[in-house]
Amino acid sequence: MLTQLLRLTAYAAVLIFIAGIAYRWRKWSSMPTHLRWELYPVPHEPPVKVRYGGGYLEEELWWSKERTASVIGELKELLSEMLFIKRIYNNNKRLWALTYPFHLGIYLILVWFLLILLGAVTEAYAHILVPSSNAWSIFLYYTTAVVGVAGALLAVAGGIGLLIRRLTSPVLRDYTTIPDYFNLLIVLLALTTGLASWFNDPFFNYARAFALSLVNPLVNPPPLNAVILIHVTVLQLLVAYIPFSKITHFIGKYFTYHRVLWDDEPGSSGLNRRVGELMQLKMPWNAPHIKPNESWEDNAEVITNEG
Amino acid sequence: MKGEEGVRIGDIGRREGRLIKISLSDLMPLPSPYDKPELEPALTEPKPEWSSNYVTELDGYVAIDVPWKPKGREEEEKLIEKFLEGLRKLTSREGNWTFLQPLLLSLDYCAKCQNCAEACPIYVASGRKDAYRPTYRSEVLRRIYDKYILKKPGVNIELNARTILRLGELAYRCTLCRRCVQACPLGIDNGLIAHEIRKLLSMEMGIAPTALHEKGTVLQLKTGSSTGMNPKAFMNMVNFMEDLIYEKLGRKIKIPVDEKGADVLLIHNAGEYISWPENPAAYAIILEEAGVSWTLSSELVGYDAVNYGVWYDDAQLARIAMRHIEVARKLEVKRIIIGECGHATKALLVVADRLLKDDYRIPRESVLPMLKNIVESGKLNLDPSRNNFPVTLHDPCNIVRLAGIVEPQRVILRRIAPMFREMEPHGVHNYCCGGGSGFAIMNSLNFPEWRIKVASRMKFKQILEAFKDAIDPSIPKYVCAPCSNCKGELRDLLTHYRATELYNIHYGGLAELVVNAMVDLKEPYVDFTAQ
Repeated sequence: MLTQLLRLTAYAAVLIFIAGIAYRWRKWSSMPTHLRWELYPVPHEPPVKVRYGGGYLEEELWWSKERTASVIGELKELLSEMLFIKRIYNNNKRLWALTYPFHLGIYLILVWFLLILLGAVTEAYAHILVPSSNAWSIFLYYTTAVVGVAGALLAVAGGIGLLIRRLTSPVLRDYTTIPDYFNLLIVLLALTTGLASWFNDPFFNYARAFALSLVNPLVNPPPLNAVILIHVTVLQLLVAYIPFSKITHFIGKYFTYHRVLWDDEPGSSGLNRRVGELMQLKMPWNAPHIKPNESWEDNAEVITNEG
Repeated sequence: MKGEEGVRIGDIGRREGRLIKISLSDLMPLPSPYDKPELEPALTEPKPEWSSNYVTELDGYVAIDVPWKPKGREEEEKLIEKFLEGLRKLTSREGNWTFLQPLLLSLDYCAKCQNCAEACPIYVASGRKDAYRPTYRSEVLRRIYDKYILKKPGVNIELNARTILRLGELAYRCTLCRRCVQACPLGIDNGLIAHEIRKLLSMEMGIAPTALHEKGTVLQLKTGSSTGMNPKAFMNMVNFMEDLIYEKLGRKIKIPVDEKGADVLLIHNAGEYISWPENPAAYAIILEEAGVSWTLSSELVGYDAVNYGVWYDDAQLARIAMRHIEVARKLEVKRIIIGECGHATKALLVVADRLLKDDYRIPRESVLPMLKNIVESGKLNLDPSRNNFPVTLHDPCNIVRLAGIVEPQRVILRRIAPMFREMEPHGVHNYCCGGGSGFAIMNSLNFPEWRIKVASRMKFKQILEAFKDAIDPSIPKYVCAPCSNCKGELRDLLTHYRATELYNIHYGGLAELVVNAMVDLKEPYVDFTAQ
């Protein structure tokens, strides 16, 4: 019965996750156009400039030349930051030694989810059992096991290390708030109960069977023991909680880089139209040099020789 | 951790006395020959009477030199109320659409990993004082925002007058160099948060250092220049420069002023005319030799490129930028070129860019790319051996890290200065001169001592290291700083340590070195005996 319930809540958790992430994304992408505040190096500049961090303002008559912004350059920087966490590696190797295994472990677990899902789909719709003598099935069976275990071990080791780091450094302890600890703890709880489940299910057959019941509602979920039940519950809570927490920093990071630090787009008719609308907003500030109850545009008007 | 003094977030409102104690023994050691204690002038104590009007409870230094300390309970309550009112506006669309997204992202997503601290020259040079961490003021503001604006439960911060007063001062312990942002894996901008706190104080409460506001942007909009120079005084400067050029070049050059329809309107930081007229004069020589169609303006604000608004107030930023554009429109020039001034370059080319629409979108450039093209064109008859002394380049943050103009100045130096050497680190990873975000012009009370001892310390270390093979006082050395405010800071720094007098270290702009290499000159343009 409990597993039936968990099947339903699994759908709910995923729906909350998707809706929550979509909401966050929309919140940030619908923010007003801001003034330019870029920071070099900007990776979408031509490679020859990226090498030393230069930008298009280095060219005399830059405004008469065609500006190219390379998506590949941004992608390269994005991937090297995502896959290797370059900025921490360059600045703080000791922190990197903890945060890198933690994040790498989580990436592997995301791959594991995909492999489990593929296994379930293979069983449900290709009608190939996992494991069986089929080559694809064997591949799925073993890579799932290896990726899952490696991911969990790396993430647990890194996560515990990060927690200890926060608890032992007086400075970090001072900066860390209750939600910060909670985020780390709930992730660690999901990871450690996952590891405990793995002892009961070394080749993730229960996981795959549960996934099968999710992709094919006609199949009943497998009976799960207490440890796995706890793990699945914690995991679902985590999934539903993520959109409301700072764990969504992957979204924040997209916006800080792509929409702020690398946003060197010079004014254009579209941009200026949006800014023009914002300039009509009433400036609410109260200092003596602000014209009260007037728009930004009126406030920007020059007040030479006044007073 | 060295220098650990255990200042916690909550201490900002709780701790009595000074939050940060600066002492010479804690400061980052300087390299030879400044490793001798007798070359390090002593620190001074703030005058006791200052503390009745100004905030000496942060570190004993005062940046905000307008009296803003509340007297009595009632005024304290009012201060808190106004601050929260300002914070509400700062985090709203109407009040702060200009920086809302960057600000809220930085408030929401900081992981507090402290990766940025070691990138900050102020934190490191101070002897790693906790309250100078780039994250410190940000975390205080974040907690106030979470607790009082978002009304989140369980947020640990006490908001009292002392918190606000110290936070306000602390907003002026960051040069907005944004080196910390480069180190952040999440792109959190602690420099921006300092900038935003300044805006809250200025735009809501009318509180800003006199040098930036009353004698800065307000004076500039009123008299034409933050130096107080009016158009008549400016014309006198033009005459003076023509005489200077005659003296150096042996022939007269007519400096074009208010030439309608010129290709280029060149706007210098007016501080150049007063402190370093050889720089705008050098440009007059270079542009004349290169045959550029150019002009200066004698209109109000048209002869002063500065825009201090970029450091503390969006309304003032917009007003001055608009004025610059209007001057250019009236002269019907094709483009505006900003002289060797970092913040003015960033203000008009970058930050104010999106405010300019339709016929206000006059192309704007830094002078450095044009100068590079002129040097490369061969139109100037240059002999690099005339610059036969060690030269190092200071990268102004606003031109390099924040506007991406990195190579033109280097191409020029490689051509004209055979003994050019880089500082480490340099380019987009440079250190601020210590005078950034207005510090170089903030001279009230004891603030200069702080900016030189702490904010400029890393730069002085870099300069000494760049010249370590030539520290011998018989060899003149030149720190090339293509930025007026950086030059102002370097002047104060070298004076404080008597580095010109003792070790023959000089500073100046880039155009002067170019002219110094011109073979037509009878006398050297860069005069090492003058400084």
